[in-house]
Parts: sequence; C-alpha cells; structure tokens
Amino acid sequence: MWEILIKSFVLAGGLMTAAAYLVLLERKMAAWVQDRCGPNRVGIPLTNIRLFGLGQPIADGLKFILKEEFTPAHVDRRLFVAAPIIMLTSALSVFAVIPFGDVIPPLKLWGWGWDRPIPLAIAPHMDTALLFVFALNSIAVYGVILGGWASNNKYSLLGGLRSSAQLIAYELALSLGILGVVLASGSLNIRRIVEMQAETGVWFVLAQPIGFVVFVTAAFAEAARLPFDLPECEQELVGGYHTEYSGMKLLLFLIAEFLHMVTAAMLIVLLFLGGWHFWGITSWADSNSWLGAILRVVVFAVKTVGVILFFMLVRWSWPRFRFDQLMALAWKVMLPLGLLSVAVVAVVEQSKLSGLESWLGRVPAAWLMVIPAWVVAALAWWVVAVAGPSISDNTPRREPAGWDVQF
Amino acid sequence: MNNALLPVLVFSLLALALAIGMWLAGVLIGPRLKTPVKQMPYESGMDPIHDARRRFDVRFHLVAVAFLVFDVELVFLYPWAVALRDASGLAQLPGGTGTYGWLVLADVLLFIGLLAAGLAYVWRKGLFRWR
Repeated sequence: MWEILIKSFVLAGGLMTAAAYLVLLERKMAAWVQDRCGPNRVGIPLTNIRLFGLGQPIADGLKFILKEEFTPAHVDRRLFVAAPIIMLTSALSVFAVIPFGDVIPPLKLWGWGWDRPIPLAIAPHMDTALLFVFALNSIAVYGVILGGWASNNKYSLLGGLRSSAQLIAYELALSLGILGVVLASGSLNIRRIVEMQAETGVWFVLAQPIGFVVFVTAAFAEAARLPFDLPECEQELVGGYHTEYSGMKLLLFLIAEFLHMVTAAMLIVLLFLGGWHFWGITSWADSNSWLGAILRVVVFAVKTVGVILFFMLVRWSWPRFRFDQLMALAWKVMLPLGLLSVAVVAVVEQSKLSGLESWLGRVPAAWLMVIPAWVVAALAWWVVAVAGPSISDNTPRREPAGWDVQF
Repeated sequence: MNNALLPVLVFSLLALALAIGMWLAGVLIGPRLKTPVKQMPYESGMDPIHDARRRFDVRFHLVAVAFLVFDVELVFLYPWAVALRDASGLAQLPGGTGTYGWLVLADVLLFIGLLAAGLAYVWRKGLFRWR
C-alpha cells in the first residue's frame, strides 16, 4: 500500500510540474520559431537573478490561484464546475497504467530498502491497460461537451460540438491504430507490448507503418493540438468550449490539455517506438541492474521528449484544418487506412504463426515481414496522396457524378 | 498487492482530489467582484441576442450515430486480437493456430469487409459531406 501511495504522489506531483514546464518549453519553442526571446524575465523573486525565465511557470501558477474564481450568471452551475474537474481527473488518471521505464532494481541500505524489483508504473499488472486508456479518453469528451453546453454561450457550444465530433471521429482511427499493436503483441498490457518489441527488436513503427501514421494523426487530434485544434481555434471561436472559463477552472482545462499531449507522446513511444528499448544500448545491462534500469528510463525519457518537441514544432509550423477537411480526413482517409492496416497485420501475424516463425526463427521472421508491410504502405500512400484528391485542397470537395445513390 | 486494480483506484481518487483541491484553492483565495456586465455571456462585446441553447446541425448527431456503430463493431475485434497469440486462446484449437487460424482469419477479414461496406454505404449516403 505504501508503495502505491508513494508512487501515486510522486507521479501526480511530477506530472503537474512537467505540465507547467511544458508550457514554458512551448513558449520558448514558439519564440524560437518566430525569432523572438520568449519568457526570460522571471527568475528567483526579490533578486535580479533571471535563470532564463525558469520561474515563469511558478509565477503563472500563483497568478492563476490569485485570480477571481468567477462563475457567470447564465451558466448551469453544477455542470460548469464539474466539466474541468472531469477533464483533469480523466487526463491524470490515464497515467495509472502507463509505465515510465522498466523496473527499479532491489536496494538495501543500512537495513532499509526493498528486496524485489519495483515496476515503474502505478498499476503494472493491469491486463486491460489499453482499454482503460480508451475509456478515460472517452470521458474527456464529456468534459469538453459539458463545458461547452453548461457555458450557455454560442462560442462555447459551437466549440464543444465541434470538439466532440472531432474527438469521437478520431477515436475510431485511434482504436484501429492500437488494434494492430494488440494483434502483433497479443496483450493489452503496455509492459508486455514493449517487451514484445524488445524481444524481436522490430519496433511496431517498422512492422506497421500504416498503423503508425493513423495512430499519430489520431493522437494529434485527440490531444487537440494543431493542426487539429478546431475545438478552441482562437481566431474563430475565441476560446472554444472554455470561452467562459477563467481562473482556476481554466487552469484545470489547460493542464488537462497538456497532459493529453504527454499521454499521446508516451503512448506513441510505448506502442510504436519501442518504449525503453533501443538497439545496442539497452542490451548493455540487464534491467535488474542499476545501470540497466537508469539506461531504460533515460532512453524512454529522451524518446518521449523528442515526440513532445515534434508535437510543438508541428504546432508552430502548420496551419489549422478547416472543419470539413478535418472530418473528411478522419472518415474518408484515416478510417479506411486503419482497416487496411488491421487486415495487413492480421495476415502477417497469421502467416508468422502458421509456420514462418518455426521455419525461420522468431526474429528473422519479424524482420522479413517488415517488407510486405512497407510495400502495402507505399501502395496506400500512392492511392491517398498521389491518385486521390488532395486533402488540403481548399476548393469544396466534390464527389464524382453518380456517387450519391438513394439506396 | 494482489489486486491489480487497486492502484488504479487509488491514483484516480488522488487525481480527483487534486482537481477538486485546485478548484477549492481558487475559490478560497481568489477575490469576488460581481458586476452586471461581467455576468453576461461573452460575445465579443455585443449584447447577446438570445439563449445559446438553440438548434444545431443534425450532422453532429449523424456522426455520433456512425461513431457508435463503428466503435461497437471495432470492440468486437479486440478479443480476437488478444486471443490470437494467447496459449489459452486460439492457440488451443486442435493443431494450434496454424490449422484453424486461417479459417478464423478469413472470418475476421469478412467482418472487416462488412465494416468497410458499411463505411462505403454511409459515405455514399453523403454523411461525411460538410458544407
């Protein structure tokens, strides 16, 4: 029980700090892209030490607490307060099943310590981890739609509607992307999925390129990051579903959004980029030694930060989709691609199971089956990007004549 | 700890407590100044004309229905995905997954084909056309 409590508090505190400093990182990134300085004033209070603006998140947090806790007169009070709380709770609870590394090895110092390896996850033995992630992802939609509805404001309502339509449309693509991974690893447990990738050395990004593209696109949309930030496009809808929110309740929404991005980055790394495995590095030391444990955590952290930086770079370099383009991408491109990916992975896995693995051995079979996956991916890319109509085309999309049929 | 779900419950409760605690901190510390203008809905400085709860485009509803259909059908694929490699799953078939596995795979591909047919149907019905 103590183990659970300590891990929970450390993780919750760490995530809150991480979210605060990710805001700073994002602002620095924006400044770098736009060729300006970014926040660099706030350092240690009452001194002139500036520390590259590292005090900014703390100052922002304090300012949020000191802001007026304001609820407008025209809202549905209970739902208005419940929405940000639901949002943050669901965004934070996901991390219960997401591992942060392999294990901490046993340690004994002066009679104090632990004698078995401690898994670096709050619930490492949960076999339905990915279903839990899905469930909480769906609850986040409730936070958005309740916030938009309870605000009783036209901007909020439109933002909430758009947002819920976007989130549920891309949830299908997300499920299909993950389904391929589950199929190839035979488990919903995230640790097991990482172990499968480490055993063969074939990360699922290599084995399932279409699934990876579908999953990353869907993860961007689920995290409501640009180019998919339709829910709160500032130029059209003020703040989208949180137009009427201010003070602490707004902070809850903002933290939840950053946590969604962290979740998405971690899931991309764990499911497709091999988690804490890296060829040649993690094989130096066993995960039960201290060197091995630290290496795994470092590899995982570097990959995650890399993916987060990619998220931020995309945000500051891509324009936003229009809503019809967004829905067309979800239903007409990502969903068929996801179905194709699942079918390809199913055939590949079945041919491995019925003879290829026992004939070639597990690792060569895994590497060999990368080839057909990439051939199909190249064909799919050709159909979607070269032969098909451009998704970012700004003319209204027209179906071919005779496409609409009254069945 | 034997129960694999207990940590999830503990952490979720902690997350809930954190969210409520942060909100309460704002309630207790922040100032309260109400003015009539501040109480109005924000519409870029205009006086709002009527309530926000009016009719909206039926397409949002249609998309929700389409989502329900596809999502429920996708959920059916998850047990198969987990059971494929599992020793207590399909591998228990006589002759292992090798013999009967292709039959199961054909069934599943048929199912995915049906999903694709459903997608083509709603597509040609014009469900995904937003104006």
